[in-house]
Amino acid sequence: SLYPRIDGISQLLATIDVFIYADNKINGEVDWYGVLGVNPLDTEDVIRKSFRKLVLMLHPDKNNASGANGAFLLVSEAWELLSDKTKRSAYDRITSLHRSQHNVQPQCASTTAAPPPAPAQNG
Amino acid sequence: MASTAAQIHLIRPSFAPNPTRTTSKSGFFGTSVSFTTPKSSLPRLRKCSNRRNHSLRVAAEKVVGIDLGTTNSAVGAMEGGKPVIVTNAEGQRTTPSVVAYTKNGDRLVGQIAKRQAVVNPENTFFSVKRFIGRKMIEVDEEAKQVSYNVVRDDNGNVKLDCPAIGKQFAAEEISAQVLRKLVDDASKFLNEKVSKAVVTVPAYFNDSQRTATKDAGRIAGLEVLRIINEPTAASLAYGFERKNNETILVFDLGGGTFDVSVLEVGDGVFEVLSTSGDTHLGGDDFDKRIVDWLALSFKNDEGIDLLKDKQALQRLTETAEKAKMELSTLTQANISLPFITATADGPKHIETTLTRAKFEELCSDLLDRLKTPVQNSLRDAKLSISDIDEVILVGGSTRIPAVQGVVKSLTGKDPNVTVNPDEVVALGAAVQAGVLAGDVSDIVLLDVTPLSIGLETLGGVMTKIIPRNTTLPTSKSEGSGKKQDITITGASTLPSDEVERMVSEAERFSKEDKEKRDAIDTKNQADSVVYQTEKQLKELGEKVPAEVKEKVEAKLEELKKAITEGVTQVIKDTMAALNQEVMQLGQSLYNQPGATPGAGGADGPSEASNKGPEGDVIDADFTDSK
Repeated sequence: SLYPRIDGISQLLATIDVFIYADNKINGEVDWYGVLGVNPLDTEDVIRKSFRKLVLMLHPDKNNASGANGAFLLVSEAWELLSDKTKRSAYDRITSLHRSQHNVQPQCASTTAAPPPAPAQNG
Repeated sequence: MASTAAQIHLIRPSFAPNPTRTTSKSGFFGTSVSFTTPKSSLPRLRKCSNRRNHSLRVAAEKVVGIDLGTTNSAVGAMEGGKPVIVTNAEGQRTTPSVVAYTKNGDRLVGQIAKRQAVVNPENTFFSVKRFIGRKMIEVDEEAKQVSYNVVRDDNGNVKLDCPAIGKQFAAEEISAQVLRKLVDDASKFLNEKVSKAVVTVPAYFNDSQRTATKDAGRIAGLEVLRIINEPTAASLAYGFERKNNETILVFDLGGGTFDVSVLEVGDGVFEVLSTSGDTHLGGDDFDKRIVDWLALSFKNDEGIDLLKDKQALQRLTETAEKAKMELSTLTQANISLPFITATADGPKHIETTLTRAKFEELCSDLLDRLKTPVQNSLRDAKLSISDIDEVILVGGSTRIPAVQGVVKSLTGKDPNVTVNPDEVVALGAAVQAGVLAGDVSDIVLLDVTPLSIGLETLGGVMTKIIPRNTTLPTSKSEGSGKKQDITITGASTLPSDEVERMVSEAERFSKEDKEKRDAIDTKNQADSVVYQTEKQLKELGEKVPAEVKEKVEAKLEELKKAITEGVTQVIKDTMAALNQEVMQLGQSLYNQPGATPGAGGADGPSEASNKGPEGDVIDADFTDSK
C-alpha cells in the first residue's frame, strides 16, 4: 500500500520484518513470535494463519528476491518450534513468558480467558 | 562417479539443554547443514543462479505434471486455470509404463508394448520403476518376478537385458522412453512444445531413486523442474479448490509402492506433516499372489512348474491382474487359460474360479503390511486418528475392497471418493507445474522428504533435514554442539558420463524414430496415391487424352518403382511429380469441351519437393506385397 505500483513491496517489507525480529534476542533466544508477526499469547490457529501468509510471500517458488529465501527459512524454523506444543512451552519458559497459559492447552480458549489476537506486525 | 558420497556436517540442535546458542541464519531449529556432495549440490547451485537471473520472467512454455507410475503413467497440465489430464495418442488417459523391443529392433511404448508382452516376454520391460536407482542386492525379490532378465553391472547396479537388440539397459533409459512418449503425446494434445515437467515419485523414494528419475527425464530430453512426492501431489489436486483448513491422510497404494502422508491444508499452504511407506509393496504384489496360487495348483495337478516358462508366466500375470480387477466389483472371477503349456499327453489348460474371499486370504499378509505405515505417519505427525478430517485414496490398488476395508478399520472413516485414484497424482503434479510456471499464484507446497537429504532442498525446502533411517552418532554429543560427520555412500545412480551417453543416444534414436515414421507415412501415402490414380485412370478410360495419360502412366510407374526401392525422399519427389501430372489431367478434362489441354505439360516437381537436410537414405521396414 506504500507504493502500490512497485511490485512486491509487501514481500520486501515482510522479508525485512523477519530479519529484524530474528536479530531481536530475548534471554539469548530469537524472538520467534516476532518472526512470525504474532504475540506470545496468540493461539496456535492465529500463529498458523500468520505463518501461512508469510510462506505464501516468501517461499522460493513465489519469491526470487535476495533475502527472501533466508527469511523463509527463519519463518519455517519459527513455525517448526512454535507449532510443537512441547518445544513452544520450553521456549516460553526460557524466555520467561506467560508460562501458565501454554503449559496446559495452548489453543484451547476455555483454560484462561484467551486474549484477543493482537494485530500482526505486517498485515 | 558410480557412487555418491554425501558429507553432512551438522551442529546438534542445542536449544533446550543449551541456552547459549548462537544465531543460525539458516536451517531448522538451530541445525545448520551444509552439503558437500558434488553431485547434488552443483546442479542445485546452478539452478539457484538461473532462478535469480530469470526471476519473474514467466515463460510461455507449458510445464506439464507427470505421474510416472510403476504400471501406468499419466500427464496433467493446467488448462484454463484448472488441472486436466492430457490424453495420449491412443486417446487414453493413462499410458502403460511398458517398453518393448521387437525382434527386428522396433521399439514399442505404452499400450502396444503391453499388448505384445505375451509373445515377447524377454524384451518387454514393465514395472521398471521397481529397479530405478537401485542396487542389485536391494531388488533380488523383484528381479525374480519379472519376465525379462535383470542383471548386475560392474558397479552392482541393476541392468535390464534386452536380447532382441543385444543391449543392456539401465532402468533410467527405459523410463526415459516412457517419458518421451508421454511428452510427445502431450505436445500433440496441447499443440505446444513441452520440454519442462514436474515428475512425481513415491514419498519413500531415496536420494538415488530420485536422482535416477531426474536422469531419466534428462535422457528423454526433458528438464525436470521438480521432483515431488506422489501423495503430496494427490493432496494438491484434492485441495486445489478447497479453501478451508483440513488435516488429510493420503493413502497411496500404487503398482509397486505404498506411501502414506499426513498433511495440513489451508489458506493455500500444503504442509506435509509426516510421511511413511513401504517401497516393496504394491498392486503387482497382489497379482503375484494370484500367479503363485495358480502356478502352485497347476504344479500339484500336472507336475509342471509354469513359473519357469517365461511366456506362461506372462500370461499368468496378465490374467491375475485382470482377475484382481474383476474382484473389486465381483465376488468371484473366472480364470481361463487355454493351452498354457503342453506335455506328451497334449495341451494343458487352466480353468478355475477365484473367489474374493480366497483372494483376500492369499493377500492377508500384504494387507497387514498396510497398517504400520499408517500408524507411523500419524505418530510422526503427532496426531491421533480423530484429528484426520479426510482420507484420500490414491493408486489403482485402493480399489481392492479389502484394502478399503483396512483403511476403514484403521481410520474409522469412509475414505473420500471424490478423486480418481488413477489421475489425481498427475493432476497434482500439474498444479505444482503451474506454481513453477507462474500460472498458479495462491498455492505453496511445504514438503518433507523422508529418506532424502540432498536433492529436494530447493523449493521444497521444509526438509526435516535429518533423515529418518540414518543413525546419528549421538554418544557424548548430547547438546555439545559438536560438529559431526555422516557419510552416506553407495548411491546407485548412473555415472554422469554414462547419462550423457544415454542422452545423446536417445536423441539419435528419437531422430531415427522420426525418420522411420516419416518413411512409413510416406510409403503409405504413396501407395494410396498409386491406387487412387490407377482407379481414376480406369474410371475415366477414353475420356483422357492419350498424351496426358501417357505422362501420368510414366510417372505412375516411376512412383511404383520408387516405392519398391523404398527411398523416402525419392518417393516424395516422384509422388509430387505424379501429383503434378494428375493435376494436368484434371485440367485437361475440365477444358475438354472446347479448347485443347492447357499449358504444355508441367516441368516436373517444383515447389513440392522440399529436399530437406534429412534426405538421407532410409530403409523402410515394411514392404508391401504387390
